[in-house]
Amino acid sequence: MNSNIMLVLHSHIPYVKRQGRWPFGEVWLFEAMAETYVPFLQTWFRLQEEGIRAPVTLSFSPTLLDQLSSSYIQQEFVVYLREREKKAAEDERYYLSVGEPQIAALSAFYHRFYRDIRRDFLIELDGDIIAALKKLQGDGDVEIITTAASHAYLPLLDQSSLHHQIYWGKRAYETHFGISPEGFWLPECGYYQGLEDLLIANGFKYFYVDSHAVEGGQPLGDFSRVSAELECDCETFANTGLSTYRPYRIKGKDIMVLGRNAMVSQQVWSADYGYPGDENYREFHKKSSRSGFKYWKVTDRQGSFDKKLPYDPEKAMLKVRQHAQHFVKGVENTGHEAHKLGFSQPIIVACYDTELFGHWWWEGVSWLDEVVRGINKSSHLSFILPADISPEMPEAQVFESSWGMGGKHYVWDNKETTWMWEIIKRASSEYEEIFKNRISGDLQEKVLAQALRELILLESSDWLFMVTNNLTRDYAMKRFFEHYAKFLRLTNALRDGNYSNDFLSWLENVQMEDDFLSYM
Amino acid sequence: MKILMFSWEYPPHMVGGLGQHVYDISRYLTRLGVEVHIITPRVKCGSDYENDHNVFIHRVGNPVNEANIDNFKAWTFTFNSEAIREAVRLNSQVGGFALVHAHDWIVAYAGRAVAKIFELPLVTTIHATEHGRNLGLHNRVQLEINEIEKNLALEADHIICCSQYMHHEICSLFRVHPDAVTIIPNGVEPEQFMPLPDEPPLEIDPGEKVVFTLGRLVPEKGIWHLIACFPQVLERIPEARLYIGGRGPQKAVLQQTAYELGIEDRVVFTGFLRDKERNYIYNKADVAVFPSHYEPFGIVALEAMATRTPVIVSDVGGLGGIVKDRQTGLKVSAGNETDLAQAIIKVLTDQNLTAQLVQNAAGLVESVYNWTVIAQSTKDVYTKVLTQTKPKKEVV
Repeated sequence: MNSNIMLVLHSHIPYVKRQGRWPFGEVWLFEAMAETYVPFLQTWFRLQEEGIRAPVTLSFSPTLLDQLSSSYIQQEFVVYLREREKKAAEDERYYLSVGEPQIAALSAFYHRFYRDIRRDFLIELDGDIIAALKKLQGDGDVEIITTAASHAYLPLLDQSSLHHQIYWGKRAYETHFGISPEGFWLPECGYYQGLEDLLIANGFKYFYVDSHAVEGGQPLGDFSRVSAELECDCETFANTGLSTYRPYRIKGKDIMVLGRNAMVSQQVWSADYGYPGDENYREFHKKSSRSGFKYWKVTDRQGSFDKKLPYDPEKAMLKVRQHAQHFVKGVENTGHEAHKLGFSQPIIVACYDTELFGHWWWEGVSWLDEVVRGINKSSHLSFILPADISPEMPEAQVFESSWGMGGKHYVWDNKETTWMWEIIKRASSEYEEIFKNRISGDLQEKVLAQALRELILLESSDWLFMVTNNLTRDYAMKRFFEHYAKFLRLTNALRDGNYSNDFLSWLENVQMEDDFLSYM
Repeated sequence: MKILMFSWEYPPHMVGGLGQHVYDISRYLTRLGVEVHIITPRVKCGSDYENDHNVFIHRVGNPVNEANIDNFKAWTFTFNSEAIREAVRLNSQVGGFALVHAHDWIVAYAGRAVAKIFELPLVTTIHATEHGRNLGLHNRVQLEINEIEKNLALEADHIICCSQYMHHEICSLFRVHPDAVTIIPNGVEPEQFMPLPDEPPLEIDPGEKVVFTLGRLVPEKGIWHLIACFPQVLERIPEARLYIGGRGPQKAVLQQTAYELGIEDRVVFTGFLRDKERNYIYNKADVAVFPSHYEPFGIVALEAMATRTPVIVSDVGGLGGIVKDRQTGLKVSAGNETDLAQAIIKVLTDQNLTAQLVQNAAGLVESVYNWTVIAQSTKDVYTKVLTQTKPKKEVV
């Protein structure tokens, strides 16, 4: 009795290139690269060398792809790694001098970590994460898919912006990988009925939704990190009798939908009983005020910061193995349940944010490594990629939904963000109006393209998410207003036909600063 | 020099002192040859564009009506987006501004975004802080506003504030370098306090001793102390009567306090006062009292001085800096109701002292708190920022 597990990792960082370094901005990207992407790739290459197959579906957002391929980011990443190494060495000396050898040993641990990442990045990966992804895809070990251009929350966009987000999601992928993408990751699993039409029009063959979109019932709401001061109604969706154990073709349309297995995903994500909260794992939130390094273990999830004990990497690794075994066992059991329900070849779709592994959950990449090994050993489980799925499948309709709190649009659309949507919609229809007037001339087209870039960046779901959660809110608002102001300056010039020298030199700066989708 | 100001208050939209300040500073700046454009919210029945004493007023967005704004934050951010739109249009119309000047947090994002995309220096006047207004930060909205103020302060090329007290508050709260902040006081125009209404807004018995206070009815103004100490005043001076001008959320509470003390017939709540109505009461007033707990500047004290009314203030913030005890007014420590009552009795009974205070205060208003001087100091800040600011954007 075999069950299939489809591991889907969705990777995204907003466009932070040249938009601040620290504490907000490029450092977010560098952390994800150092703690997640590079270790992940190294792990997959090692598995490959050992002859262990680890087929996984990877989504990479266009904002991330464009940044990873930029030589500026590649160089600055190395600068960042060197800074970290230096800081770690300073910390080691400092903690030795104040008689804290345990912490000093951890400083040395980080020093080695960043030095190794630098070597891996420069030598093994040749500074090019995308080339490494391409190679893995070519070997059939991963299937890479795309998502909305700036990771916009699609269900609330108007038609023309939807088109731009999906079309440029596809074009970015083609630019970086040289082939057309087949799968589309809906940002935040945000879906409404009819969205698939634009996906089909752009050649996509499949997409993902959350469990309740397929099965109905109560959404599990993984992203329950929303501030308690906001009130969100959790909708209960009608039970459909459908199951996430099988793919469906959207009713009357030629596109496949895969439903996330919420239980399996929750086991990892959940703040209350997920693995990352284990006492032995490294604590994410407590940082050294000297250097930002994280030297402590979770200890007690509810406990205060001053009660946290020093981290012990070896103990954590023991836990990683146990948790990986637990997970594999859990997936096997889920498979058995599915067989009992009459699914002969059930598919268990496990979706996560890639950055959970390594960045948020420090031991996460090692855990993935162990899970892959465990699944390879299991006689009941095998990995599956979307391309392996047989085209025979029933038809179904799925609900308007997302994987956010409450199961619908609340996290991105609430009283804190209503005003942002008004601005997005107005900008979008203004762009459309100007576009319809058939601009001609090289300069005008350049200005129009930049206006579209600003519009697309304005639409990033990240700004909405940060405002709702009241996290790095000022950065989000600043970015939002700046992209809007740039958009207005560009469209104003197009309407006026007034291109002063000031404007032209500014245009050049902005084209460089917001050089997202430069191939537009 | 063409400059662009953002302000959420401008006459006729006046909530606190901000509207009056922007009205005055802009008018006097134009006399020094500065071309001033102000982007401010629409008002009902007001025009979208106006040339007010050579100041160009551009009104955008939804009309402000605080009572009807159920989500003030959302209104604010929408207004910022409309202000940016107007600034972009104006900038090409006027052929480029030299500088952006943003007044207070409500216009922070418009100021920052416009300065950034037009690569212009940003000057901000911080009139008050959320931390000061609320005597601390107690909820999510207050923390957010504090954050917006802080980021505005940190991003600005230069900060203007109105008193030594505010200078200290801004530097310690936002960790701004003291050199980045210039103190320029507020001013008053004595002429504005001359015109009287055709009809008296209320009857004031000529035999009364008129004690007057004016301000928004909010806790930081400390008006409850004035009511609470008033029975002591009445004991000595039964003909005293307290006139409280202004409106605000605390009105019912204050009325209740007067009622509980049994002095409701000696306390008059005039409601909001138009300029001429205010002048009328000053004209009759024997003393003006400002018992605030927080007062970044204390323009009301200068206004009272300009009307030649003796003033009593609590020794806080800018108020404490303006008034020199027993020279230009009387000072009491904030919240000390007995001292407050004694001070009122003193002013109402000691005519020699009163005459001296009024004389000194009028001189102070003329020499220091004079808009021509203030506008020149402001222009000096502009000039300094323009010569010092390097091109802001250095793209790598």
